[in-house]
Amino acid sequence: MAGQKRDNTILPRYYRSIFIAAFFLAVLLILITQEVYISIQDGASSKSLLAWNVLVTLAVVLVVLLLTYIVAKQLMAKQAISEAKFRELAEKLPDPVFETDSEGKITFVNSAATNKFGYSKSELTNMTVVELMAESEKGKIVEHNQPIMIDVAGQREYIARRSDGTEFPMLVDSSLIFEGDMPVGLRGVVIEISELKRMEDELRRANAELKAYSHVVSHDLKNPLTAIKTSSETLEKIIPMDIKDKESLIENLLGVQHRAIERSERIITDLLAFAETQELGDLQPVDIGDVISEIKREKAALLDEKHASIKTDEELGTVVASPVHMYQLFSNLTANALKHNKPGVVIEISHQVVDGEHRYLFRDNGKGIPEAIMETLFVPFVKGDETGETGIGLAIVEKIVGIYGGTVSVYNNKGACFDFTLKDAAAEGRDG
Amino acid sequence: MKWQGGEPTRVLLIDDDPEVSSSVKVALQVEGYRVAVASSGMQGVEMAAMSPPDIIVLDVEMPIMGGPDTLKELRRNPNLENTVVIFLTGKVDMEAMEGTLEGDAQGYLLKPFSTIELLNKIEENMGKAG
Repeated sequence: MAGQKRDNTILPRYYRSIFIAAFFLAVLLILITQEVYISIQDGASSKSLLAWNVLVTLAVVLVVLLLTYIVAKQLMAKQAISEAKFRELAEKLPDPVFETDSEGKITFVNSAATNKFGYSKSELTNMTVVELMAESEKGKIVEHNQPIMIDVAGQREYIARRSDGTEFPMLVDSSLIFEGDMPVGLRGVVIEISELKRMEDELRRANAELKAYSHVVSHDLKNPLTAIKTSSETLEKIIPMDIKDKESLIENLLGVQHRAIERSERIITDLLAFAETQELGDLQPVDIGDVISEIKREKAALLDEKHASIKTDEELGTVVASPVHMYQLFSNLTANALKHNKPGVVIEISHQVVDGEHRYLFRDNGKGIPEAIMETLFVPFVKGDETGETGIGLAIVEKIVGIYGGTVSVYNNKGACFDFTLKDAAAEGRDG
Repeated sequence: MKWQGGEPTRVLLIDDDPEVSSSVKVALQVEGYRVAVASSGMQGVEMAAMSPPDIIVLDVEMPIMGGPDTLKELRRNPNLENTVVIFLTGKVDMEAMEGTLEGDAQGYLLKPFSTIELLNKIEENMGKAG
């Protein structure tokens, strides 16, 4: 753990030691000189000698004290200048700078800290560093069961909490302040790393997508290619042959080719759709009830064929979003429910507003989702079963929910249940 | 080598992709093999137990029960301990495939393979087995 030494008492410990040493030196001097003169003059004029010795010794002590005081004053002046420079520099920094005492109570902050955390300087200097952290972080520090300042010192990441309750990720780079060998506080800088975290998340997502893309190219597209290649070769072989059922074999192989080509097209289209999902397009208030009505119209034939129905709450809320995204989101969930369930499936969609967020429960009364595929359900291009899909529908659902700051969870409860949240795009600070 | 003891060689093709299954099935039938098709690992294990084939052509990337897991299940059956198994895969990660081969399969083909490559691989392994 990095640390820096600073003496901030009136008379630093080192000079207190000199002071004590000077006192004992003076006493020793009195005793020695007294013994020497007594032995030389056989005690004849011991009184005058004693007086002379005391005077000399007092003078020595006074000189040592005076020197110690002058040096200490100079050091304190230097320290004061150094402190003033530090504070002046700290004020100019764009990131919060702080100092605490040994209990973690803040003793100094710069102006950047007041802007970042939304408290005044006087409020901050009545708080501890832990009070500036999110609830989830406080537990972590208590768990370590050691003084706060030792726990926090070093380079660590925490979630900070502002005065208005909003939170942000921060990197605290701090070191211990020492008095002698004793740590008496903490000094450090706070760097907000929201952007870094966002970029990390984006990179992680991009990597996952890249992996998914490579999976498509390496697997999904290779299957239809294999079918096209082998069926072409077989066709080439059997056309000149005189064999039984030749016509039906040719018809069969041509059918294989036709379906394989169609599937390749579908995979490429879905790949592009998935890549383009990130684009927000025009943001506007979208009535989800209208979206569901549109989906019912679009899928009327399929719903009829499957004897399926969609039941919804009277109010499904209005989300500030791209209408294309909202249609895609509910349409993909509907298609998923219709594709994987037997005829007669009933889809139910309910809505509520929780903490300013829209929360939707999209459920069906079908067979539920097999446990074996639950974990990979939202992974792009990973298929649940072979029903002609490309494994992209639910990946798009999760991607759209993520774009609108929400999360989606899935579970089985008398059918498949998709529970997800959406924030209005404007509330997320998006400008399209 | 398309005949085993006077009977056509029996091939069990386990692949979840219907188009690959259909085209490979016809390609092998035209060459004189008797081909059965399973569309999942579980179905393949059941079919192999009911009627042990001479050779199994097994897709690696299948949902729920992939090729390597299917092979483990197949090998539990004493009748299938020595059956020739050839993997089909779209993966290009040779290192992973080598690991899979250690799992007691006799060979693999990378998709998209040609019919002649598949036939050569089958005949080469049936030759060793016979």
